[in-house]
Amino acid sequence: MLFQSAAASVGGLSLNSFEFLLISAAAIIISCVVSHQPVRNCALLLLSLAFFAGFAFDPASIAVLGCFLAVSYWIGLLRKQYGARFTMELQLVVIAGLWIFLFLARDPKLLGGANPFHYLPIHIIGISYMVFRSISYLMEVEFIGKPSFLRFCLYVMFFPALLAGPIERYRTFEGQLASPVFDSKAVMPALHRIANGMIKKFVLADNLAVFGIFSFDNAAEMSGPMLWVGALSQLGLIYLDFSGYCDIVIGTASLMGFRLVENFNRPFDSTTIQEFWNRWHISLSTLVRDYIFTPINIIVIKKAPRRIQFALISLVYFGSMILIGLWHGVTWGFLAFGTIHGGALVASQLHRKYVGVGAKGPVSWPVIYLRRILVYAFVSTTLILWLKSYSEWGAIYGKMLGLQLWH
Amino acid sequence: MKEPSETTGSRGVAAISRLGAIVAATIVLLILFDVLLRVVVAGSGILQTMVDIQAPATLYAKLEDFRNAKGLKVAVLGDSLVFGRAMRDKGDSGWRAHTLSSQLQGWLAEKHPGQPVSVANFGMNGTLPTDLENLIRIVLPVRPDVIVFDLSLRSFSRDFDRDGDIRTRDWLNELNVSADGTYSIVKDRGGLANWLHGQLVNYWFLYRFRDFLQSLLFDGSPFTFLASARNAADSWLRGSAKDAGDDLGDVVLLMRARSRYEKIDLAPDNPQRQALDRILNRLSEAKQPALIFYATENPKVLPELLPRQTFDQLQAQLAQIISPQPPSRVFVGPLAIYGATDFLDHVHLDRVGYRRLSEQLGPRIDEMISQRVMR
Amino acid sequence: MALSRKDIIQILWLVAKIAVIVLLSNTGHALFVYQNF
Repeated sequence: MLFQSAAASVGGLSLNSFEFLLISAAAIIISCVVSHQPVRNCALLLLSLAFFAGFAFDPASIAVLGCFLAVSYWIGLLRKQYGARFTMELQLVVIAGLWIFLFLARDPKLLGGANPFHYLPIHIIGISYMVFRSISYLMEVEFIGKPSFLRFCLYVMFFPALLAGPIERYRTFEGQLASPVFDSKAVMPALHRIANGMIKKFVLADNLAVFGIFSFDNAAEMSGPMLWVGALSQLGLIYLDFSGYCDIVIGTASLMGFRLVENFNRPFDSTTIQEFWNRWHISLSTLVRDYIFTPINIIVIKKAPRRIQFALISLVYFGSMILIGLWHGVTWGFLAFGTIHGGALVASQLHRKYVGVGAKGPVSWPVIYLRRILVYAFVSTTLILWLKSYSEWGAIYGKMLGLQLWH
Repeated sequence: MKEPSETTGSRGVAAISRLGAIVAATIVLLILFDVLLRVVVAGSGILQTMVDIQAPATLYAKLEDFRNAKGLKVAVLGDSLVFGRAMRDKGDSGWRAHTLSSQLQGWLAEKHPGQPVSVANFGMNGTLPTDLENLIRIVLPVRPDVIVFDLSLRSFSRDFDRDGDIRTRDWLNELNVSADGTYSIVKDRGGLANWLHGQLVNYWFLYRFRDFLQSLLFDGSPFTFLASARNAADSWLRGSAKDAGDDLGDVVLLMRARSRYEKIDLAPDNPQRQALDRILNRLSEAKQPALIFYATENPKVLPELLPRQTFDQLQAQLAQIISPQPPSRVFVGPLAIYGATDFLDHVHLDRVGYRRLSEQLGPRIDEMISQRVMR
Repeated sequence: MALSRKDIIQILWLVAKIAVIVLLSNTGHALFVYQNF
């Protein structure tokens, strides 16, 4: 499956497995019929754990997961207890700690001996998303009257969103646990949404995957035109795969009474790179914006001298994009990707500040289409950086530009 | 503030009953569609089309179609020689009509006018006696009038006695079809999902039909089809020559065949020999008429593969193991009817070669059928 | 719970989609099969 964080390898239950069907069916029936919260929440958590158990099931990973949940929950309680004394700086330190945990746990080879997981490699499916949910919990627990460990665990491990999101906000999820949304008129559209998602993912994306550049075993050996086909189709294929997955997940959750947040909003309609990141993997980018970008900026505005504030905020903007890149995997490729996109975003910010948006009147359709194509092409060509080794990049880009590079 | 222990907001009962109604209606329509599909597929005879059988459900779908056939039934099993697709690879686009099973069907139909004749082809590339053992186990309950299969000395090479190489298709080993035609997969893991898969194959025709349809349309799956399309496009874009590759392929095939032949061993500890023994036992116990024919090698190439004396010795040994007893067990050894032009390579025949072969096997099969009817 | 004519048409569509999913999805992840063959 292409869309998952590249460091995670999925071997286990896919969304077209019997296990997922049975677990979903049970969850839907229980959610609709049982109105006694503790019982229902417990049942849903057990079903989520059953789904989780369909993947790697070794004691070390389970233990680490348990500790992670317990420690995250406890820190949230501390924050709630201390209120304003739990400063924003301290929050950011905790968030940084969570990120470091994510990087170390997900790539045991990172930092070699300095990485505790080097000696105890673990594999927790969806850990990248779980860490983000614990960040959301930390930032929003103050709004919840009586948090409970049961509901927190259900939030983090909610099985429809376990594999790859969407990343729901803690406050919203708690609200939906208390008041699920059931609408008879939404049942048929939900079923169709699930079917559409399955077609996008299992019929289109999985079969056409062979045309995407990620599937080229020996990309450097391929012909130039085929590399272009590979690069330009890969983004579309990832979209089919990921949005198909989201359709299945959101449709299933809606039958359970949960309205999950959307992850995509016609991303290929974007005419600027900034717009693209507002329309692609929305739950991720909004989380980074709200819980990393904005808090740091608040500190910058409060504490930094006015004349360098814009520069600093641009730097934070740039850094946030790098973080998003690294969130997918800690490799040079993701770093390069984040850097390039961060640079592009900052550049467009600078352009707006110094050149101005300019009310030039309505833009003509050919220009809009051209911009959309350019944005698509830009993201597609930078996507090549996600490929394993940087020794390949040179050969691939060279071939695509028609240059012959010999090693 | 004490939080309510009951959920607030709308009730799920209305939603779940609507969901239930929709699901029920969907199932009803799926059943209607399934009935229609069964009728259409059975009437069209599409399941008799020869495809590369890569999944158990494909084999099962063809087997069920064969089981339901009326009149004379002959099942032809074996390896690539029986499958016959080498003809397609060498440019014969009408290869399906030129295979051994097709030509036998034509021959037998002429001999029995007015009676439906079904000669089913269950050949699969590269099968060994161990795979054949499983295939016969699966086909036997259908009780065809005659089971025909081919053997080659090549399969008894010691190359095929090591753990990973004993059989070419593990799924054949796991597939089980009961006497009344119930499909199941016997595996140590998979559990509930495995059982559910079996149930679906047994009762949901659309699901059962899918593997066959993918083999028919995509020669495997949409994915493999698109993969070869991409590779073909890439080769074309790179302007690489294909003809040189073909000739090289033949040379490699011959070299590999030669190394196999050097290691042929019919000793009782060879797992392939043991599989053959078990096949013969099973056929005897079931009193199933069987015609075994030897996959005659290209007379021009054979001297390069084995010295004549060794070949004759091994043939004698093989004939002894098989111990033919017409009319229930017939063995047709290497035939001298072929010219070198009848062969596409060291063992695969072209349409003329298959015609000659069917003219040899046809009368023998016919004899076995009439003896069976008399008894 | 009564199903309207519009519902039946929608369900027919759903059946068509199910047929497409069953027939054309990648056999590497064969529909509802735990282990690929």
